[in-house]
Formats: sequence, structure tokens, C-alpha cells
Amino acid sequence: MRRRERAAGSDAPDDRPLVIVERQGATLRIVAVDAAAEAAGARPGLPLTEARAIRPDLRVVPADAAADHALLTAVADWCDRYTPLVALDPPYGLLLDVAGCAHFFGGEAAMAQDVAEALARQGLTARVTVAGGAGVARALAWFTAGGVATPEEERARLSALPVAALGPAEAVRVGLARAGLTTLGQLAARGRGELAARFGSGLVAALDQALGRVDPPISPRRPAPARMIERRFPDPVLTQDAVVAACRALAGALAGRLEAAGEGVTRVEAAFFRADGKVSRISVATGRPTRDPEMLLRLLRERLDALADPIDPGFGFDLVRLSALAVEPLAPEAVSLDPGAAEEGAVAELVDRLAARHGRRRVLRFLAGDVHRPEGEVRARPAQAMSAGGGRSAARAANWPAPSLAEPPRRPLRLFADPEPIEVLAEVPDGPPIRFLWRRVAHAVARAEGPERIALEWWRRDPGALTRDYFRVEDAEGARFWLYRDGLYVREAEHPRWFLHGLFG
Amino acid sequence: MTTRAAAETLDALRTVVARIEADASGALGAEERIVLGVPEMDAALGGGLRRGALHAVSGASAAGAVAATGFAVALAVKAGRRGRTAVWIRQDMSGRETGEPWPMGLAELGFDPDRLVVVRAPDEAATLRAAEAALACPALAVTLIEPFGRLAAFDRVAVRRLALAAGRSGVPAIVVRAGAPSLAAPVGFSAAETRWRVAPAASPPGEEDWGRPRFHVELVRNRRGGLGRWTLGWDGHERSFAVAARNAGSLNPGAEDHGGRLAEPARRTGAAAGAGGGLRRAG
Repeated sequence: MRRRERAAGSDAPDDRPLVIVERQGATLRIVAVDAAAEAAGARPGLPLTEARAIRPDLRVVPADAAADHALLTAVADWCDRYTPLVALDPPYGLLLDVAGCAHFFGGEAAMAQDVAEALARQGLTARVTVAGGAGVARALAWFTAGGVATPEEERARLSALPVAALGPAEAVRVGLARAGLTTLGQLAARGRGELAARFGSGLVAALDQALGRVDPPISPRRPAPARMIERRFPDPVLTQDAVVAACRALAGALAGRLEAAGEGVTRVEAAFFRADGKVSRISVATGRPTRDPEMLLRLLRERLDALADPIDPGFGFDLVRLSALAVEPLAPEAVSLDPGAAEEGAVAELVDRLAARHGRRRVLRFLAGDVHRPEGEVRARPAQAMSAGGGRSAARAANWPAPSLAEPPRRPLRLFADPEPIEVLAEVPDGPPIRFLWRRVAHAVARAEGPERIALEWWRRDPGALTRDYFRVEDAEGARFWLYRDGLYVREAEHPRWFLHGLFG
Repeated sequence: MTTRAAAETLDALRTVVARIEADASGALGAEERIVLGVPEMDAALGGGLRRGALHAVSGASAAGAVAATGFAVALAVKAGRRGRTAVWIRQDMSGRETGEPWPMGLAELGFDPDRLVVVRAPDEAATLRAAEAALACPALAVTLIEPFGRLAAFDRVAVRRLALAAGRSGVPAIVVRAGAPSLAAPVGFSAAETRWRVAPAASPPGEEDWGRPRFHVELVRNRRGGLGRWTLGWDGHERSFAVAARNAGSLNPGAEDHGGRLAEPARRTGAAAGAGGGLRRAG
């Protein structure tokens, strides 16, 4: 696909011939032209000064690779409406795997025409080719007029292509010209061994791809969803009610398909395709597989409500799609007589809703870790990734400290993610504190217990990490603190610093 | 004599109002009680802490912030039901100011970290939203809500909605104000069933293994019952409160009490049990 994007993009009233230039060495050279400039005699590769000599009133725009890439990505997004398998072919190409999709659009030719026309409406010039392989399609799109060809025509066209279609390196190109090989047909007539010996194996590989002898799979930008269901609107829908109604219908249809397949979904994406090309996507995850359309709809609405900037329908959506990105087997629903299972289901649904609104990383469950450092003793995990109860729970429970009859709590109720520095007065340098100053308030220590020495595990010793001596202290008012001295006195630090790490209830 | 008659009338009216409110909230669990196991407290509360209701716990001083958390966790343990999940919604600022609730410490207070879901809400509005969602789920054991700051979003209407949601689902809502104790309780919390102020209590002198959870607890508001003040110890192993001292001092320095107020709920046990009547009623 070839595009001269900015021709129509910015200022339409200005119909002077447009060229896009890039600095190459000391000269500004044209890298792209629009139709008017082409008619005037400008072509890519020409120095700008020469072009100006032909047409002094050229409109000149500097090339912007980042903007080009952004545009290509946006067009790729939009192309998702034809097939879920869209790959970028930078700098200016897109590859769509339309196997099994074309009949939805009235066949390959109609589909190609639809793509070209729709892109033209967005102000983009595109050359569209449908062919049996990605390499063939790429070669034909760049070096012929495009379109759809029968296999025989396709072979004929390929043979006539110039060797430049293989994108050879400069040395190879010169070599080919010297050998009098100008078309792919001539190349194909030579033996592979001969070509490889003379021009390198890269050329043979490129030739194989261009002729469709090998067809490596394209690498789509997004993984193909397990199931997907969509609805097109001849007249774009604008109102939220209509969008929600469409989502409801899609969720119901998706649920039917999932049920038939004995599957439940754990990740769903809704994509809203705007008539003018913009695509918005939202996705929600569930902790356990589900196919309840009402629940999916609730999660999607929750997510929509939480968006910082709501989806703007612009002139309306002409396609809404629901994709099941991840599915798991799910047995047919059975009415459970176990109230515990129903409760767990309700909690899982609550977790899903909270995660949809506040974000997966903000709804957490905890695992007891096996790391000595207090910060590592507990690991927080997205609650959706962990279910309560079940077999794992019993194994995990063993890792939490059991409340002791004989001893007071050894670990604080609240822990600071970043230990807070305090000023400490101690009787002896490696003894417990007598007084300390935290957040500008002085606390007189009435009781102290310690030290409890906590060092990094020897196998992850990091020279910067010091041994910590933890003290449990109670001040005169009865408030209890967890303090530590960072580093062993003299042995690790001349003047160890003190920190407050936690508070006891 | 007239006082007594008036008190009886008041009790009768309260019972009626309670019934109407329970009907309005339409839940069977709303009237269910969480027995705290301290006879004086249970008597003051009319048999225990009401399950389907909102209870507010705040620190009486800067040092009280964590004591308030400790007391709220103890209440949550008492409110727990076998195998049920507890949800703790805490605002980011609260975690930064007073530390994150730490499962290790929770486990030592008898609170099962495997049955805990923590929601880290970025701001007050998100805290409120998450609280509403959680309170609508009847499968939970308890919902702890920990907002931070002035609580402008927790106005009368919002707190009333939370209280009603707790009534419908039968899940107790415990609002902990760990931070900003210097601010007065926001007006919105007049919809709370009970309000508590908590200060840390020093370990008894001479105790070898000091450092068990102890708090001075003051019941400063009770919609249908008496008030009181206790110094409590919490035993995470037995999951039970114990009255550590019966003649606790006031939480407000300088407002030293005459002792009668404290003993009052105990004396009234016989008369008030069931009806949940009390002489004092704040707010």
C-alpha cells in the first residue's frame, strides 16, 4: 500500500503540488509526491532544488517518520474490521491475512475495492492487492497496479516484475544488471544454486517469497481472538443506548457460541470502530471463566464508566465487535447446592467488578513469601489471579504466623512501604533506643525488645544492603513501633541510620 | 420516677423505630448481632454490634490511628464468618500516612490473610464507590473502609447509602479513619450505627511479654443504646476481647471522668438487655 498521507490530511484548500522531502547528505531530496506533483514532473529521489526549477510553487513538507508510523498503526487498527490478523509492513505497508474472511465482503475483488474506497474517503491513497501469499501480495502491490488476479495472471505478472521488487542490496542490484537479469521471470529460470552462489542466499529467499514458493506466516499485531462476534451498522450509531444494546446482543451471541463450545471467557475486548476510522478498545478480565452475558455487560459498563476520557462516538460507530481474547473450558452450569460455592462465585464477581473499575493491580490478595526482608515476606497479587479457598489455601495458610497464646505479636499491623527515617538517641551504640524523633514528634521509649537481626539471604547478598536490627518499642503513651537500625555498628556502618518501619495495633 | 417512665417510653419508641428501619432496609440479617464477648459492651450495644450496619472507628489522637486499626481489625475478626472473605478498601494516602495494612500483623491478630481482598483506591471518590460495590455483596464477612482526609465525599447522603447497603446485605461496614485524627468527625457519620474513639493503652507494668494489643475504647455514639468507655486487650489466639482495666481514664486529657459513666452500662445490664436502652445518647 502506498500512501501520500499528508496530501489530504492537513490543508485541503491548498491545491499546490505537494512534495515530502528528507535531508539525505547535503541535499534535500523528495521522498514522496502527490498526484499533482507527479503530473508536474516531480518524482521521489529528485533533489528539491531541481523540482523547484520545474515547479516553483511546490508545497514542501519535511518527512516525519514517527508521524508516518503512527498513521500506519492507526490505519492498521482500522483494518481490523476486515480480519483480526493485521501485520505492519513498515514503512508504508500493511499485510492482512484475509483467508476465510473475504466472503463476508462479497469476495476478494469486492473486498479489495472496499478497502481502497474506504481509505480514499479518509484521504489516503492505497494500492490493494489480494494474492496467495504475503510475499507475492507485497511484490504485486508495490510494483503493479494492484487488484486481484487469477493464479495464471498472477504468475504472469510476477514474471514481469523488475528485480527491484526483491529489494536487493546495491551490490546485488548492480550484479544483476550486469548479468542482464531484469525481471523475476528471468531470475526464476536460473538455477537456485547458481543464484545463491553468485548473489547470496538472501536473494534466493526473497525470490522464493515473492513467487509464493514459501509463505512464512505474517506476524499480526494482536493475537487472534479465540472467538469474536461483531455487528455492522449501515447507519452509524451514536447514542450510548444503542451502543449498549449492541453490546448486549453481542454478549448474548458470544455466550451462545461459548456454551456450544463448552468454554468460558476470562478476557473480553470490546472494539468500537468509528465511521471515520478511529478505533477504541476496552477490555475486561474475569477471575474465573464465565459466559454469563449480563455479567460481561456489567463489567464492560463498569470499565466504560471508569474511563478518564469517555469514548467519543464522533460521527458514530459503524462496527462494534466483541472478542473473547482468552477462553478456558467451562462445564455446563449445574445448580450448586453448596452455599459456599455460591458465596465464592459472588465474591469472584465482586472482585471482577472492582478490578474492572479500579484496575486489576488495585484489587489484591496476599501470599506469604519466603524472603527474610519484611518487604518480601508478603507478596500482593491481583485478586483475579488467585482464588480463595480450594486446595492451595491449606498449603498457604501454613506460612502465616499463627497467633500465639504465649507471645505478643512480633510483626506490626501496618507497615510503611518506604521505611521512614527517624532520629534516635541510644544508650550504647548497638543498644535499643531511649528516645526517638518521628515526624517531628519526640517519643520516650518506655520498653524495648530486640534486636531481631534480619539479613538478606546469603545467596542474594547485595553489597548495598545492610543487616537490620529490629526493635519493638513502646512509648510512654502506649503506642507501639517497629524500628530498625540499618547496618551493624562499626562492622557495616560507622553511624548506622535508624528507620521506623511499622506500627503495632 | 418520671425519668424512668420517660426512659421506658424512649426505649419503646426506639424499638419501634428500629423495626421500621429494619423493614426499610428489608434484610433479615440487619438485626443480627455480633457478640463481642464483653458483657458490659454487649449490654451497651443491646446484645452486640449490629451486623447489617455501619460502624465508625477513629483514633483519639495521632498515636490512636494504629490503635483504631487494631480495634477495627478485632471487630472484623469478631464479625468474621467461617470461610468468608473480608474486603478492606483503603485510600492510597492512608497507606502512605499510616502504613499499609500488613498481612503478617493481621495474621497475628487472628485475621486470616488468605480470606482478605484489599482494594487500593486512589482517592476518596473511588473509596466510596468501591465501598458501595462491596457492601452490595452479601457473601462477604465484613467490609473495612479506610478513607483519608476531610471525607468531603462521605456526606450524609453517601454514608446513609452505605448504611442502607450494609442493612440490605447484612454485611457490617466498619469505617476506619486511621489518618487525620485532628479533624472532627464529618457530619456525614451521624448515619453510623455506632462511633468509637480509640487510643493506645500502655502494657501493664511489670509484664514480661509486653506488647499485646491494648486500647482505650470509647463508644461515643450509639443510635440505640448506651455509651461507655473500656480498656480492652485483644487476644488473637482466642479471638476474644478482655477488659484489661475497669477504671480507664478519659481519652481526652483533662476531662478526667467520675467513673460512674464507665460502670453504668454494667449496672444496667439487667434492665437494658434486649431492649438495648441506655441513658446516654449522643448526636
